[in-house]
Amino acid sequence: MAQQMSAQEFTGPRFKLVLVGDGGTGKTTFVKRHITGEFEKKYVATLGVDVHPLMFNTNHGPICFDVWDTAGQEKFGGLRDGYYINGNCAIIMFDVTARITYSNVPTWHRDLVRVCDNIPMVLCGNKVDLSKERRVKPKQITFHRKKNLQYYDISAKSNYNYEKPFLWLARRLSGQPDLEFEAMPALAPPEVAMDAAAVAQAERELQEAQQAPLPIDDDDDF
Amino acid sequence: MSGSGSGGHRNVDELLRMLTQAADCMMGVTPQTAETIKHAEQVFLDFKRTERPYELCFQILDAASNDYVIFETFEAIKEGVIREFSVLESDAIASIRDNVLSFITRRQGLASFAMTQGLACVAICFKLSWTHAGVADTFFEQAESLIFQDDSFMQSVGLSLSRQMLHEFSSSSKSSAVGLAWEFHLTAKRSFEQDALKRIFVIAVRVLRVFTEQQSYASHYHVLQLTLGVAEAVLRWQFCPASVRRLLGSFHHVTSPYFKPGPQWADVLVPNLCDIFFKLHVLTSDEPDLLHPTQQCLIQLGCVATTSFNDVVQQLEYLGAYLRGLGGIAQSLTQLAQHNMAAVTGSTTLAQASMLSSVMRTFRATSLSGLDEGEQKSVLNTFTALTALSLHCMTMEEDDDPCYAEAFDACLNGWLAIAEDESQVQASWQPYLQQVFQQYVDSRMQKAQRDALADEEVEEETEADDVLYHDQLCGVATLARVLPDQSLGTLLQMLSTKVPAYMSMLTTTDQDQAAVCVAHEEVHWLLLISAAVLADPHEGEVPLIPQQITALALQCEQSGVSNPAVSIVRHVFELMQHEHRCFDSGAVANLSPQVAASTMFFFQRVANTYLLLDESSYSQPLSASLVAAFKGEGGAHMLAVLFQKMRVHVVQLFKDVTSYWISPALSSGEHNAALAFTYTCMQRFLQEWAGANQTKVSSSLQEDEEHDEVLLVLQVLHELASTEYFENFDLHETGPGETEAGDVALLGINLVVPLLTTEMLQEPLIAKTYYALLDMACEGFPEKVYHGSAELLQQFVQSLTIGVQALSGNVARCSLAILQNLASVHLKFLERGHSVNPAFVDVVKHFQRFVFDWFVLQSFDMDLLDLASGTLFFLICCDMQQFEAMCTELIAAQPAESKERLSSALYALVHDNGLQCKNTRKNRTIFTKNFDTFLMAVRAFLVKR
Repeated sequence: MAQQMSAQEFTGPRFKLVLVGDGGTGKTTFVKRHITGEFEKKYVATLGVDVHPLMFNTNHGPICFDVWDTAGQEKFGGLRDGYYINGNCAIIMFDVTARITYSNVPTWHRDLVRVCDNIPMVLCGNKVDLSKERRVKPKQITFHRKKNLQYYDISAKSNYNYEKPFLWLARRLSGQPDLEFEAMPALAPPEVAMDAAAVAQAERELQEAQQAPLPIDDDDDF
Repeated sequence: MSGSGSGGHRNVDELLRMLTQAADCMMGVTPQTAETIKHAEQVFLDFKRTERPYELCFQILDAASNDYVIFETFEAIKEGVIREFSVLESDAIASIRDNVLSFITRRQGLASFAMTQGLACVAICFKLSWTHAGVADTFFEQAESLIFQDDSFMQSVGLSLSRQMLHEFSSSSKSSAVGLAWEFHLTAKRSFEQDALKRIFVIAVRVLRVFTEQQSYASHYHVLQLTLGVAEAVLRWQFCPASVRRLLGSFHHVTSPYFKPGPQWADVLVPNLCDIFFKLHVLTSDEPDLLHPTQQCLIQLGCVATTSFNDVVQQLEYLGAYLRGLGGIAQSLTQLAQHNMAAVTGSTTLAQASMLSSVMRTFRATSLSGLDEGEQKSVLNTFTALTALSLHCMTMEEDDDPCYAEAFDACLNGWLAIAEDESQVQASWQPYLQQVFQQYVDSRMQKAQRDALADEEVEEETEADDVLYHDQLCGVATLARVLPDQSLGTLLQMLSTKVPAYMSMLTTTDQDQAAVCVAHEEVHWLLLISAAVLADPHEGEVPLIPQQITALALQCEQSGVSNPAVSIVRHVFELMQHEHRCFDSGAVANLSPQVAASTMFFFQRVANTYLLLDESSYSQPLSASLVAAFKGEGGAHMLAVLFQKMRVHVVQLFKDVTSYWISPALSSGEHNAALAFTYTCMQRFLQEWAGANQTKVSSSLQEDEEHDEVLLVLQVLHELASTEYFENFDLHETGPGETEAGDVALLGINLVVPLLTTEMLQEPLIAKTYYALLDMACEGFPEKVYHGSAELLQQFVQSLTIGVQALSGNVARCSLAILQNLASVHLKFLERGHSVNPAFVDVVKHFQRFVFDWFVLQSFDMDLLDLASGTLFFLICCDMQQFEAMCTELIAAQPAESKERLSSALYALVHDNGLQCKNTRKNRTIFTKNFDTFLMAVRAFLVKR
């Protein structure tokens, strides 16, 4: 709990980050990756919104993103754009293996800018680890050019580019183009009790992640 | 909360207090925890459910000072109007609309998010009554009176309102869901396009013109930004196609890259329009947030469909003005690059390259020829400079900004637009096209050096260069073939120095590793480019040698010089043989897998085209020397070596796979026997695995391990069932007592399916593999699956119900295909009077309704349409009685005005064009056609948004 308190009591720079995108694109898994270092394989639809404070240590001091992980499925939407208000930055996520999720990106973007004008946004194409299943090819991803967003291919599973969206947003929000993350994100405590072995495993994975810019794919298990 | 609409002031005060408290939580004024957020959320959700909330809402608006409360109150009004539209008088809607707008104009300090929410509500009210007399006029009166005031706040309100109108009328997935039929949205959009769209654009251009005349935006930054947003939204407008068939009642439809207004726009599309936006480009060049929308408008102005102009004269005037404007800003950029490279940004370079690409792809070579020679020359010079700048920055780029590479691709697209149709290429353009090719080769060589020395790790997710740059290489090859003698000459000259140097490196020890890396990269790229220039990629059809290269061969023969194409192939062949020798002799230290792969890529591309030469496929006679080089002894020798190399590969692959299962047994012997043995082993393995699984019901296995194990087995089964791999070995015939792939796959399915839980199917990778496996089994062995046990079928039904509604298109596709295969077996048995699987009768009933509902009433993925119609055909034929009952039920549920429409459409679906419910190809084709017509007719009023 101590760490959660520290995230709550943190008085340094903190930014509200709105995370949107179609259901099943991997938003919650992406956030959980930061919190616990684990990859969530199951799909449990988010209801309304879940807020997660994510701490990052940078060469300009620690910063905190309060990530508002919103429901992708319309029927679970809750307040929808009501969550976006006062957002300082946003990530729009789609799934590169499902075209429809990319074609809905303009709608998510439209709803975001209606509420948050002129905030930095990153478009993320998730699940690039499933390269054989990829349906949205890099050349087809042009929306970010139209709307002046940053784009990253990411994989919440293999960790590919996993800190890039946060780093880009941190640089933009702080106005420090030379900002770097000094260590991997500080661990927020998992919400469920983990046994010691699982904690050690998570830490090991994080350490590995820290050392390798592109950590190995855990597909190796199969 | 419901019913509080008539509440008095005390209630309003109390409600306002609750809303403000909840708003403070959402805004982070008071502590945010999961509980407080959920509670606040519930307060607003309840509030928005209020019936007839309008009076209450206006009381709250008057009393509220909290922007979040105002935001949610506007949302409550909007949801109320949408919900109660059918019972509201049009006067009531107009009054709600005017009240909201008037509230906004009175609240100067209102937060922008609240204002926009209110204006979205106003826009929806306008849309709901748009076709009523006078409504459009009211909109323009209000909007113009706001926009042309000398008050930037009022201007902002008017412009934001226009922007929201554009959103609401665009009628694709972008407009708000108002619960009305698709044809309502379409009618509103059509009506809006007639006149309003152009009027809004004209207003925006009028505002923008003032900015260019004043040459400043000083305190009106926000107004300029909003106006540019409006202009951009208009220029991106996708007009309704003349035939709505293409849209098929869907809110998602394919977008065209062109801006395609009707002839009534001709008076707007004048040279002066281009001038205004290019002036704005200069005016906003220091302000990225204004420059970007300006650039986007310019890109769109570059792709105005040529059919929108009155005539060719007007088209050329417009094109001339556009190209002059583009020439001006491109010149400033290239001059800036000469003086201060650091000031050049990737986004601006990309934007200008995109303008070049859009204008060239729209107007093409014919229009360019229409300009006078001086103009043509100046345009081509501008393009060359912009292309060179993109290439230079792409080569020198240190961080991972992909803008420059995209900018080069955009430039390349522009060049291709004028080079693709060879008959249109003027002689004076050829040197420019050749120059771009030359610049490309040079910069690839420079980049090869930089990349090799940078020594970066290759990223796992990155594809091989020949895949990643497939389009780029094809495009560059097209330019190279404009003057093939020069292009092939260049490549030959580089290969004849780089390849021997590389070959000597392979056999010499103590090489400077940096030099080896550079050589790898250089040879790799020369191979990719040469292969692309010599031959086109091919799929299926007989690959032909490009016409420009056969013409060059004839030319060489006539003038007695050697053919550079032949020499290039010889060089690469020598390289390949040398690599072999190094490999055989163990001199592998300096061998590069990448170069070996690109050598194979070269031969894969070139061998099919040149070595398997069939003269009868060519309309022109082929050069005798070309035929001699590739069809004679030399060609036969090359082929023999290649086959040898391929054989080694395939056999190795086979060994790898089989030894994975049964390592010791397979070093020699007949493939058929070996494979049968593999299957038998696999079968035993599966049985043991399943047996073990059944005994450990309460096993200590972690959930994750269990998932991984199931996934592994599914993947193995999938590999086995995919016959593709084994096709080369002609293994389809199995003798009595032998086991074939299908048996193993089916056995596996029988064993695995009972172990799968609904929860496991939520895991994307398991779901994907599972459905692909079932699909493959049902495709290959439909009858075996069909006759499976009742329990198995029940499991199938459950998983297919999940699958058909899946988020991922692939799972849905597989599920439909599985259903189709099984239903076709059922129908075949019914038609032949054979006994059917009784369990399947209910399966048909279930899915007939399910698939029909999904495609007729829901929003669906257009890509699945053909498959769905095929599936539905079988399902309907299998149980016509239930289908008729379902139709009666559906018709009964419709409002009076739709009953007749629906019933005649349903009749036509199953009777038109002589359709019979029999499983023949002809009937399936007719049904697909009828279903298409049916959807068009009924989705317009059945589908609501």
